[in-house]
Amino acid sequence: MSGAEFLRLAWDWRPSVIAGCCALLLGYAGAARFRFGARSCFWAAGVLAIFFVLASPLDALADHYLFSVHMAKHILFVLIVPALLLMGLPAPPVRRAVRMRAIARIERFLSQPVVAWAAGVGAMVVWHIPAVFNRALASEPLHIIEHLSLLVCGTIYWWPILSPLPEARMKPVPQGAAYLFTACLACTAIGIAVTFAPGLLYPAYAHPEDIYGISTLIRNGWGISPHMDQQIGGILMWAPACLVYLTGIMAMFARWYSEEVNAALEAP
Amino acid sequence: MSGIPTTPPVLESGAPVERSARLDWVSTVDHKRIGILYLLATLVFFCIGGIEALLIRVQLAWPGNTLLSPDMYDQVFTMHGTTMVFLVVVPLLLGLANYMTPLMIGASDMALPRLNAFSFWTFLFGGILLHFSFIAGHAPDAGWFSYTPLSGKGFSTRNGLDYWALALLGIGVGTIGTAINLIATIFNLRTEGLTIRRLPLFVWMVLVNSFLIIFALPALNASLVMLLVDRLLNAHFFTQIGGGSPVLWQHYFWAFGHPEVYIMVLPAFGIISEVIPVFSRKPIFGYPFVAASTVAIGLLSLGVWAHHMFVVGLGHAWEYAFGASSLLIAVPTGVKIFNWIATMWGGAIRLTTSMLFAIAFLFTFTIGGLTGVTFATVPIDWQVTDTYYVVAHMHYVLFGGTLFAVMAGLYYWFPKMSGRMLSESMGKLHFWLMFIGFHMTFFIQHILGLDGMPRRVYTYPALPGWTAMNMISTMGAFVIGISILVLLANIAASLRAGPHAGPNPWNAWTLEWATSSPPAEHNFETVPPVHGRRPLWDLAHGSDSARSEPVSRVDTMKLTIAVFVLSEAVFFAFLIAAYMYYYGATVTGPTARNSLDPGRTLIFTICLLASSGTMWLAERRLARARHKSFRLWLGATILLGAVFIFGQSLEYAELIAKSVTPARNLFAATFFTLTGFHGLHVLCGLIALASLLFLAFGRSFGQKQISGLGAISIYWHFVDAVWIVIFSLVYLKVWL
Amino acid sequence: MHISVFDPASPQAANLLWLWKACMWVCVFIFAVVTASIAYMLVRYRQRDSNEPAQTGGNKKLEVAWTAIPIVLVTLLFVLSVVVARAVDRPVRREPDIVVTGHQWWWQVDYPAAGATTANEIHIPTGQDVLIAVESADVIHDFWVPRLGRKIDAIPGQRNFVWISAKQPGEYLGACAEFCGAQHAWMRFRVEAQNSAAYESWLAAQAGPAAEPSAVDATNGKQRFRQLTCANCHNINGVNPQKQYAPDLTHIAGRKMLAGELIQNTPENLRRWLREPNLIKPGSYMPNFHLDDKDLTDLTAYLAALK
Repeated sequence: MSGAEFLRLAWDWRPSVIAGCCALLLGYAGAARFRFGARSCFWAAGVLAIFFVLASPLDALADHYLFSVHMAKHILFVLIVPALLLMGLPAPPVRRAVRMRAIARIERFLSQPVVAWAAGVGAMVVWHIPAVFNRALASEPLHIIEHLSLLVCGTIYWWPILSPLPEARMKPVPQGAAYLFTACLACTAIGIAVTFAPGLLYPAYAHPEDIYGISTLIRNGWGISPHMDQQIGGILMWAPACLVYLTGIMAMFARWYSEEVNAALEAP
Repeated sequence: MSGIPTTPPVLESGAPVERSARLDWVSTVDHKRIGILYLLATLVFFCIGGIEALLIRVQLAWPGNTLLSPDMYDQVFTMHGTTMVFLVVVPLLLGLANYMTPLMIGASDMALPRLNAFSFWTFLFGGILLHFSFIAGHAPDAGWFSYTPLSGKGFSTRNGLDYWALALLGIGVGTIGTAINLIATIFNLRTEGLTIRRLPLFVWMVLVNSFLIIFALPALNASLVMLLVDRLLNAHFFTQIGGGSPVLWQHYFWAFGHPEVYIMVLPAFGIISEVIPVFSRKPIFGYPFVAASTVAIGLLSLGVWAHHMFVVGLGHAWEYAFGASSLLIAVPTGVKIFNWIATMWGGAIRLTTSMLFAIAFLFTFTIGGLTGVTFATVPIDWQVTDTYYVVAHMHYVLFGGTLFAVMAGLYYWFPKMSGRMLSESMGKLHFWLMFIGFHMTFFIQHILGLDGMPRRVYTYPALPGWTAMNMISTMGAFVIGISILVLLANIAASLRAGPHAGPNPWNAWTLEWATSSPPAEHNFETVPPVHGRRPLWDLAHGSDSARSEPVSRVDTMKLTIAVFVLSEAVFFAFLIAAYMYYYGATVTGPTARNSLDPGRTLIFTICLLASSGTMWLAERRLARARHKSFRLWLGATILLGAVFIFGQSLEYAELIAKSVTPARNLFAATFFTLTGFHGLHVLCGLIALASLLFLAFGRSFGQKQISGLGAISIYWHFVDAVWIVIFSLVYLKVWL
Repeated sequence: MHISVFDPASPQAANLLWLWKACMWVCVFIFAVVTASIAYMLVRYRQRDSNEPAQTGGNKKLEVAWTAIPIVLVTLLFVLSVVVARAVDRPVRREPDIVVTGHQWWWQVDYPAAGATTANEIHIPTGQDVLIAVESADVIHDFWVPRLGRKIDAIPGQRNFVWISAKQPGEYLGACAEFCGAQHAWMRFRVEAQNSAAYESWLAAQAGPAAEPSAVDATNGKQRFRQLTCANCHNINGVNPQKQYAPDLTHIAGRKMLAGELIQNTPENLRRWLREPNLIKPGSYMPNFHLDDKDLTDLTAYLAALK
């Protein structure tokens, strides 16, 4: 199969994915009472990202051929999608939900910075321990749990930063910045460990089961050897992920400076 | 933050007064005097480094010159680089920061005046030690980057490299000390109303810079320690013989080395951010953007080191990732440049010498930044790295960038430091000579590099154009040399008979201009109220907001020790990473599995961890003023710590008896380095605790001692936490 | 003979130059904007009276603009760099044609397929991509022929690869680009591109044994070569096979230069080199054997005949 053919044919229109995405969109529309604003675009982008990750050829590549693409998928699930969804979430329905005692209690527990940090970083660490990762790759249910938990933990992680409720957010500087920076350090550590690993940590990708017949294309046409694939994966967890955190830190500073009345700006 | 605890020594009758004044300079803890000591010391080192630069340029003026032997040339260019980076640019900026920071935030001194003096003298000692190598026979000659294995014992048999590593360790410790001090000062000694968001940008950038030092310098210290273990104990961290990795040195060195570039540049950005607004009569354009972009640069600079290694053959994945991050760093830097230019927009520009240097900085640094972009474009780097193109680029950044900014700062702040104005006409002569000389020396080197001339060569064949270009470059270097003489003459003339400056000659608006020039020993009579970013402007023009925001402060001792612990954590992270890196390497001979006894070590580990508990109890008892019980628990802590050290000595003795030494293999080298440095930390903690116990028997403890105990206790818990990591990675892994 | 990167002689070097030019245009654009703005400010906004100017403190739209435009530009540069990198550094899927090993301070050149070895002079056939494996025997060196392609480090314990080629026959100078000790400056070499017929015949000759001396002094020289322990470091095929501690001398007379391009390979220079190597190349590992005139004559005669 050529690259173009693969990109055309490897879409996977699973009903569960389509139904799930539709439910997310409809649920949003209902919760927002069909009033859409700029925020809704973020939500739509988040749902679109989920759909893209699960249905596009990216998914086939990630699950069968390339560890690096799988890493890209994980980064999308734990960092990008939850952030987009949270940015898209309007405040009123969340406020209504938090009025419920049980939800409020859970929210209060999970939104503690230590807990939320541990959830986000922990998910990244645990799922990339070779034994765990390899097992998840072999078993479909575990694989689904993996992706769901990444999404959920990602949401918990972003909550203290991007919650639609201002009172749930932490102070942007230095707390928010430190929260993001330390997560970036943790990601760097995992990324470096994978990148520098001498052998192949995830053997399933060394000899993929060639369902689409693109193994030769990947190895020879694109020139990606298993070791290089692992290195790219490690670097993806490291550089682009840190870039997301860095963007977050910059946003924290923007928020912090905009809180302040800038006397110099107002002077005649 | 109270007065300065120096008291002039009581003089015997007849003792010359001058001598006491000189002694005063040695024993001083006044930040202004230490700042001036820094500036004087760096001036001396700058002259040495400058003479070395001229020697290099004369040697290269024409092909086949024999002024310097190859061996001598290598020493001279190594010393030029090392001197300019470690003994000139960084301490010059730290000296300026030392002098100006307390004044700019309305404080009377640094938060830790004695640490300040210690840092300076450590730095000076390092500098002298480095130069002592000339007298001791042979200066270091492996370049300021000392790539292994050339810098290893196998190829550098003489002692120069040992001096180099030891001197840099000393300088590194001093630099970290100053960074901790600046952080504590900026957090805790700000005057009322001066919130972090109102900090003068110079102070803000010094703050960011100090954190960058905390993250970067320990990486250098860890690399130097490993290099010394290689050189003195015949280990093989960085030599392929025995399984070590020469490339690891490059990773470690540049993990420090690239942040170091920004450590040398950020305070310069700060100077520019002060000078351009004052001489444009406008506030800085986009304060939040200039401030936040500093943070972006600081963070990004931690993740770009491998762009020094694009020809090492790391693989494309590495190269693209680091190319991308290095390209990105151009964005916040560009934001700064555009904001500085926009500050002049609509202003009333006064072209003083200081402003001229600031504008020259903008022009020159832009060129340096753009050639930097060409390096981040990976394939271009493959072609031009290690040529004179890099030499040109790096001097555009560090000379045309940082040094021009320092000159701007010098002409701006000299009246404050000395009370006298520098001559503007001599200043302009200095400026034009330096500007022309600089571009004459270094612009042509871009072309020289593109025409294929490698760097660090003591001579070269007479290929077309090379001779002429090298000659022009050499002549430019002498023009720079003359400009320095003009500067020195200007300073001398000003100190002798310059017009008096008065408190605020430039009509500037930050707090340092609200006191006399030079400031009195305690800095301020009264600090003006601060309601915004430009207190003196507000005072003159009336501020529209009378809002006085509270300044948040933290316990100085705890903050200091927390930052110190952070730097130590980085140091251990690098040693632990080395252990992990070599764990996978195939080693013959002793391994953790066949030579360690985790069971016995567990017992000693429990002792160490228990000592954290007793420490906590001791602190509790002291807080409740139960002194006897406090002494008891403190004693127990010391005892448990001593048992741990005993256990470690026992283990070492057995290993050495089995001839397991760092020279044996990589396991032994990493094991001894890691646990040895941890043991050293435990020992230091024990000494601190023992002196505390000694004091505790002498007198009852006040608030100051309780705070000190809190600090030592944070350190002690940290050392224990590090041991938990080491124990899990080194010993527990044996059982798994 | 210049070695400027502005005069590429191979597709690889031409690609690199193209990227350099593209990048330079971006840089020149930014530089022009910056310089023009500075000049405008300096001309337009000089202090003319004692009135203070309007105290404007910022503009968000401008900030967004000068953040976004550079991001676009660096993204463009990144994409270009990936494209060019992939074109210059093609994947390696075969054995190298030539193995080059850096020594302090000379280059060992092996042709594994032909079993030929030489030093400091690399012959390649024109018009085809040549794969070179770069290694090091001691410290880190760097292999660089500016007109033929990128540079690549020679690292002990690691094998790196570089593709070079030459469109036209000719000589292309190269050098060690990574500081490697006292004689880093004279660790230069040359690439000799020949059409394939000339190359093949050169390679066949190079793989053959050393020429047998015929003249009397040359025959004496051969004997002295053994007796004086020259053969402990230098290899001459058929005389004393030896690990490569120093340049292979089997066909030394066929090479153009001596001592890492320091001096021309003439009998006079060869004699001078044998007499006082450390005056010519201080720090070199070639010892001074304090040879007498007869030894010098004999050895020179012998070596000069090793075509």
